[in-house]
Amino acid sequence: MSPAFSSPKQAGEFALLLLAILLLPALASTAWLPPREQIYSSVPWMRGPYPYLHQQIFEEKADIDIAFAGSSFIWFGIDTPYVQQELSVKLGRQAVVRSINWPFPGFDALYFIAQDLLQNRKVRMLVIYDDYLGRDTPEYREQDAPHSMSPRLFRFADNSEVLAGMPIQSKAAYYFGAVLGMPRNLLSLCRTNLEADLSSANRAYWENTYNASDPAKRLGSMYARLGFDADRYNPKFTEYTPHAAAQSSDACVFSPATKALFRFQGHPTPVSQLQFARKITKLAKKHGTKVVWLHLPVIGEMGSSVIEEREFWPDALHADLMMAGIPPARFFQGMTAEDARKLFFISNHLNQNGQKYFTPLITPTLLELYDAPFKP
Amino acid sequence: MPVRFLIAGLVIYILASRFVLRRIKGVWREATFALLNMAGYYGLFVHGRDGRYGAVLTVYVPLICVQYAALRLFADGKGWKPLLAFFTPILALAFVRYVPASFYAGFKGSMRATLLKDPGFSIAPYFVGLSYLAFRASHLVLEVRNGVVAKPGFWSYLGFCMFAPTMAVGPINSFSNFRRGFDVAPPGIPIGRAMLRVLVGAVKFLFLGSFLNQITYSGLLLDDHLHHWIDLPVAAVCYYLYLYCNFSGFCDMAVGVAGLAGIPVPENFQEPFAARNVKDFWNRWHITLSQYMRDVVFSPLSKVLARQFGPANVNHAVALTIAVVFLLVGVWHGVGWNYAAFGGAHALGMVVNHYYAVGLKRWLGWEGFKAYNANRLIHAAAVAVTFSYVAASLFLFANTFSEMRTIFSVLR
Repeated sequence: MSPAFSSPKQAGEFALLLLAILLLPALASTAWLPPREQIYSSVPWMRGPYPYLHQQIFEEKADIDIAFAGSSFIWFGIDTPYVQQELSVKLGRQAVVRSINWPFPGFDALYFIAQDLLQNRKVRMLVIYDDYLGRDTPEYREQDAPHSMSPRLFRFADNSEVLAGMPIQSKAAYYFGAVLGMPRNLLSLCRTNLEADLSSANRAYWENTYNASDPAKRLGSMYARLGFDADRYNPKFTEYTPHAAAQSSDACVFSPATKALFRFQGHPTPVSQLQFARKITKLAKKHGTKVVWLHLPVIGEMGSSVIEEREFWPDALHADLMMAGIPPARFFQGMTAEDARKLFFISNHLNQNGQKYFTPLITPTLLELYDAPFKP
Repeated sequence: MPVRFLIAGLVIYILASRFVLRRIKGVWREATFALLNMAGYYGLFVHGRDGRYGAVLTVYVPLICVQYAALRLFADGKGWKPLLAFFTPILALAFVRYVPASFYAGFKGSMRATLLKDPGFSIAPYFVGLSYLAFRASHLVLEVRNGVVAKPGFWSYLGFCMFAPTMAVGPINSFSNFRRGFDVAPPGIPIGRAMLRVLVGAVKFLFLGSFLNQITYSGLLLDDHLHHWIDLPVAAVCYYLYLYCNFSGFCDMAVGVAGLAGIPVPENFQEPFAARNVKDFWNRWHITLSQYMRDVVFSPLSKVLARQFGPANVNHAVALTIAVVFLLVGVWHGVGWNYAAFGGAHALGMVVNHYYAVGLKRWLGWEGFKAYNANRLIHAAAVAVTFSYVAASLFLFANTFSEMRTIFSVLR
């Protein structure tokens, strides 16, 4: 068997190469890195609507009245054009409501993207929901892994301070992610990415996968014309409107008067994810942005009379956070299990039926919260 | 599979293999070693994966039995009989790879349901290592026919076919070399050297490969965005480097684990970036494949064609043989015209190099030719041209024709 290296010199060169690659993120100052907007304009459409996020974060300049930010739970859950229309009527002017969403949950991705958003646009109210540990998937509750996009979103020179206080494994995971992100960063140093053309979006991807239109045409939100299937996408979609349905007055905001309608499981959020979640609320406070935690329904809670959350988020996030939702017993009232499945395409993602049903129920509450005074 | 279980499994496999090879004798050693490697195959390629991998295992072992029967019956026969033994594993490979799944969909209801969901479904990926098995098994027929080794017993044959460390990507080990691990005085493989090979291989495969893959064709150009034209050579170079780290890294791990288990395995890479022409490249890249094709295709075919073409045209006979060899190399790599094109590109490179060398020898004479080869400037230029040619040819290997069209459409 040949040795791994033909000479000590070769072994030394290999070690130096590894060291150089590993040190790249730490050595690369912000001046070496391309502008953060180039992160968004270089991600494939199949990884998420990042070119659309690029437009919303870096190109559009108008203040945002309400931004729904987070992963696919909220991406599929809210009919953003409807909310914008209702808010415009209320305000007597054209409101600006946007969905800033992407696939796969994680407070880390939410923090990095919210940071870019709030640094570039003034946002009055940020509505978030990203409990990726999923109340019906206990095996994911303990996961504390970086978001799949963290090699792009996390750049050591921009955000090294976020690693402070994290467990060593999390620090290593984010740092190695930053190492993987360096080739694209270094390439962008040599030449800028060509402008992302929204019109050249691979529309077939949205139609084929979710039976949906381009989210860039729906203020960022997306609907899925898919039927329910626990394991895979089911193209057999049936239009459905619940009959003995909930009313918008069933939606509630957590307060001493409504606390009986909420229950908090007490499962601790993994350490690094919690750290990012706290940074989000701190960031929002710094920018004068109200934060609302919106509970999105899932099939597994059908029959429950209370809105169940992993933690009492105001305490967990050390923030004056408003929590809103609809008690499941009211959301699903009058429905059989089969009826309920017509509102979802997988157990925790609303399809178009569910989005059309949920959004009008929650919108009046959101508009009230929009008017509520902001407590810094 | 969690990493800790993988490492624990590898340690158990290595210790068990060394124990079996050193402490057990006779047919019990052969049978235990074979079963150990079947367990290794199961742990690496079946456990925790799609149920089809397990289902295919029930076909794999009978297939090996059929190949063994052909070997026993025909390998040392007269006339055409050894060809029957030789081609049995090759035909099995060709059948699995090229016959569409719809052919056998009629026999199994679940297969029909699978095809309805995914008409492009192929069963070939579930036969992990089948092509390397075909090479090993067919080469063994040659070794038996040529008297290099005696016909093996069944358990010995099964252990050779299912040797887990080299199952997935080789290197292609000959039976005679494999059996050196079973000798009374086996080759001494320093444990530290083998462990370092595994470590370096893991670093290349898991880290350097992933790092470079960020700006290869799939990582850079096929991202639905427009690109500067310069991204194409960047992706080409990075893909070549990524493929080297990925392939040679895995081979390093295979060689290292096999060495720790007590079985010698030949090298598959020898500084391919230093190749000064395409012929030299194939003496440095996937060396065991080159050696197999030389022994099995090039040597016999070139002799036949040389006899046919006559002494005056022996160079053309060699050129034609080279072209056939590399077209086969291309289509062996995958099902798709792009792979044939890749083989064609290397066939062209090899044939051009062949005639160039022939021409240079005639023009410069033998001493002049030696001086030409020793010239450092010419050597540097040749290495650069070869690197560029190989990197460019891998564009055909890495992308389907549809992806190639997409790439050219996004370049500005």
